[in-house]
Amino acid sequence: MTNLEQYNRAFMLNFRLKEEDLPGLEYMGIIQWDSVGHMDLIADIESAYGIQMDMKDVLDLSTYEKGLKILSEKYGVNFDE
Amino acid sequence: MNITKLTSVKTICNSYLIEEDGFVVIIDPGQDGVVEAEIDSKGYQPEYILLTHEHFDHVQDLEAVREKYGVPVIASRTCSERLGDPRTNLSIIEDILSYYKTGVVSEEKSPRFVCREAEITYEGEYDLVWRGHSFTFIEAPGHSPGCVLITLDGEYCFTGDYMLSNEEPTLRLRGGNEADYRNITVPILEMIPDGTKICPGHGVSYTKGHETEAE
Repeated sequence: MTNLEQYNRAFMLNFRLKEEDLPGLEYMGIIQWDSVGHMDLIADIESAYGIQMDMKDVLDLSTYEKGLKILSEKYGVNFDE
Repeated sequence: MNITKLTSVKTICNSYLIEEDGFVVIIDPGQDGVVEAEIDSKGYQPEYILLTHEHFDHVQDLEAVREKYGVPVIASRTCSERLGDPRTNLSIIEDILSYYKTGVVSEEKSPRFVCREAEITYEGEYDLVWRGHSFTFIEAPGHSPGCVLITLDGEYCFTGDYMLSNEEPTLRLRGGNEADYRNITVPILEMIPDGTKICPGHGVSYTKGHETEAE
């Protein structure tokens, strides 16, 4: 599974979404992505890549796209593989 | 018999020591070394560690305490199995949970940790007789799959994260299940007789039926 597939899977499983629903997705934009959903999402992302994110980044990860940027720029996750 | 409530600073989580003639049973080792400090200052000799459930705030000191005193841990089989993964003992989300509760970003990252499985596990119900006292354990899923209620001599009930004073149980953390809570646990909670001393995992103790007189 590629890094992008793992990232998408974290969203799809936690929020019960399809891949086409992910672009543009925002924190609090759907009922499932509230604070509890965010904790589960972060836990799965961290487990997938073996990282422990800084709290600032955890809070900044407020859209699907921002997550990609934060993970690639700060944690070296390569989404172009 | 003496019961001492000890509260960790980090998550305001209650641990309890049940003492009889200098020997103690520990209910939830908790965090911050509060249990170890009390045991050592009083010269108590621990004999068992009992767990209400597997969440990090109740078990962060588990390995240190069981290692230091060499005592067996008693937990439901489900609780025991979930101790060994930061995603199921929830230590992986400790910092985020703390932020949502307090609004404060902790300076240091909390450690993700795992614990070994319990030495004694059970499913459904389990009874322990200890120094003339009777403990009864009954599984009560909902807040987490591994939750149990522990009654002592029919007078006290150690409820973990259920029956907190003036607070509904949290059912949405990972592993939580509202249907299990409503269908399995609520009927058990309703059967606890009035007059039972409720010793929750957070907040004040009180007597069931006299909730306004919480201690």
